[in-house]
Amino acid sequence: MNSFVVSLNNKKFNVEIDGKGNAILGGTAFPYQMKIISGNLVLLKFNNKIYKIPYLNKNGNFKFLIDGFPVNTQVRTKLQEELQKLIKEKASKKKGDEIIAPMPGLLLKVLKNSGDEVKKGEAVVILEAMKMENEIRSPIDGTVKKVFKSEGASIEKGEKILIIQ
Amino acid sequence: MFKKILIANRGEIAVRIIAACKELGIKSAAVYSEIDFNSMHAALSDEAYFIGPPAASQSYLNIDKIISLAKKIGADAIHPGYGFLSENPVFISEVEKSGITFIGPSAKSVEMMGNKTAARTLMNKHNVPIVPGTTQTIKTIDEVKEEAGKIGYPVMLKAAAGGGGKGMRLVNNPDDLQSAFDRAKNEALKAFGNPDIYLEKFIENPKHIEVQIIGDKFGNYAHIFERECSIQRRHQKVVEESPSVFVDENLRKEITQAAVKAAKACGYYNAGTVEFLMDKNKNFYFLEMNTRLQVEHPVTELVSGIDLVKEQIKIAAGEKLSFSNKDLTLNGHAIECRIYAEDIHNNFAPSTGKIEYHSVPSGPGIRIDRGIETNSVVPVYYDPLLAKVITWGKTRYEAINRMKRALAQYQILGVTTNTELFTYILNSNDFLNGTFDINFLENVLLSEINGLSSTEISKQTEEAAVILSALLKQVEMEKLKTGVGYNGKNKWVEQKYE
Repeated sequence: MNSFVVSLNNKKFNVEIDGKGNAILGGTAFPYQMKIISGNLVLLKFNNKIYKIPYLNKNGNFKFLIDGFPVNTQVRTKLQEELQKLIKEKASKKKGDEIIAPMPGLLLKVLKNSGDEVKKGEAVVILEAMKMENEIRSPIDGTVKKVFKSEGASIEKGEKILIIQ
Repeated sequence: MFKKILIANRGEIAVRIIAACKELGIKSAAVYSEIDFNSMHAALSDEAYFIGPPAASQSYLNIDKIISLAKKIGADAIHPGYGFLSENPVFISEVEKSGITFIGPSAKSVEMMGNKTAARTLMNKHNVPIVPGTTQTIKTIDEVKEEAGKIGYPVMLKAAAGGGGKGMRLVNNPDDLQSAFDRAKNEALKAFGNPDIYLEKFIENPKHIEVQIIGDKFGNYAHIFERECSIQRRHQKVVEESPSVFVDENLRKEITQAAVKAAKACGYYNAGTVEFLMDKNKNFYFLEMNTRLQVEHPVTELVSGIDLVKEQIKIAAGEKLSFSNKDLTLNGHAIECRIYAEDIHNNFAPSTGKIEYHSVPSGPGIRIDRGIETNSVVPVYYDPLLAKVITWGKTRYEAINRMKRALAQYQILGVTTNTELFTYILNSNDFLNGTFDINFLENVLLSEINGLSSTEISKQTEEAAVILSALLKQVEMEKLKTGVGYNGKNKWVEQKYE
């Protein structure tokens, strides 16, 4: 019997795989059949329906496409889940707000530099992606503490651009 | 007829033009940038030529390179597709000076319509109704303030050379003018190489209705009905259909005749589109003319039976228009959904990456125009349009249901797409009743969707995803433990999980 914790849309589910062809979810045992067709295609038979599901897996973060809908989940074993809780408790000290690139693009302009005061909603940088200029605004009132990127830099989605405190 | 056509574009429209060339028995020559070596259009065409670095300015927008290439390879015509150089009069005249035929209108027509302020003046003169505003460009912020005050807020700042929502800003009050003016000018300069801006009265909650027109070089004109393109976000169309449920037989007659008048006014030939804004009382105003093939041309093809791209090629080659309006009947209803690489839950941020899995729907009434397949790369350099799903039905209702089936079966994995957005659109009452306007998606539907942090899914889908996650995780753990893959010859693994 293996136990897992699956997160989906901010909800957590406990799943047990009993080794006899059942997955136990919310107290119900669901018989299933699964076949991995290729590196990113899997068949799951469940509730009298065969799902043909394309998927990507990055370290337990799954992206599925089910009937045209994207579904993202994160899976941990019970043990990993408990470790994660401990880590989170330690790391909950706040370090100001980071401006993270919401999309990949070119950093066209840095409007606020280190030491500048900013108001909530004020544009701090302009990011150009797919021919559109996008103003990225400050989520808080504060002072720019550090700027990590300079104008003209290519930026990946999720990269830190600057910190406001 | 031409022997070889150079296609100065990429993506789904290049693929579409290659199809027309093949059907006409004409050789197609593609151009590709460094990052497009692995692309559908380059591999599908009869010949493919490297054109430069990924940045469009150095490849798909490089006029000298494209024309000298066309001469070198013996192409007798160039098809520009849409976007890129398609509405650039300098390009068109350079092409024609070099003895190659441009598949599209004359440079002069494009110039007359491409400059929005000149076009407004021209339409006014030919009794095609225009939106109130300036017919001159405005250079300084003081001028903008003065004119905006005269017209009355809200106003629209628009690029005189523009289109497609670039260099366009809505301004609600004088405080926002300066920043909007700067952004609009900057974007206009970048997108069109021209920073000129003009001002228009903002028509509240209009519909966007456009008319497909076509003309040959002998002065014959036809319209191919209207398209309803009001489902837009930031002036980018998302869903288009033909016909419009808002347009009855009489209105159709009026608006299509106005469109033909507009085309005649600039001595137009080849395929073009006259765009109108239509208010609640069904008054329509000339918005602009798109002097090229439109992204949404397939809906017109499906309800008319006309192959617009082949017609374009034949007209450019000097043939007469193969039909007139009395030969055309409006047959059924067609809808197009544009599949963009963007994340609707993250402010529509563009998504880039490799297509890991791609499976297209098929069956009655479904057409997919696309530039992607499995292992294609979606780069940051170009437009995020990946594919167009077009469905046809005897009725609008049938076309909508076919669209729902098609979208549920269209699987694209690897980049985030906007596919989910159509579920909300196609099920909304405003869409079903035809009562939507150009602000419906952005102001009404998106605010509802923004309440959802992610996709709303059924309980059964949720259960399937949860169980599958656990199963795949278990397979991964076993793989680490035993070094044997799930599909390997380890009997124990198979017994345990199947």
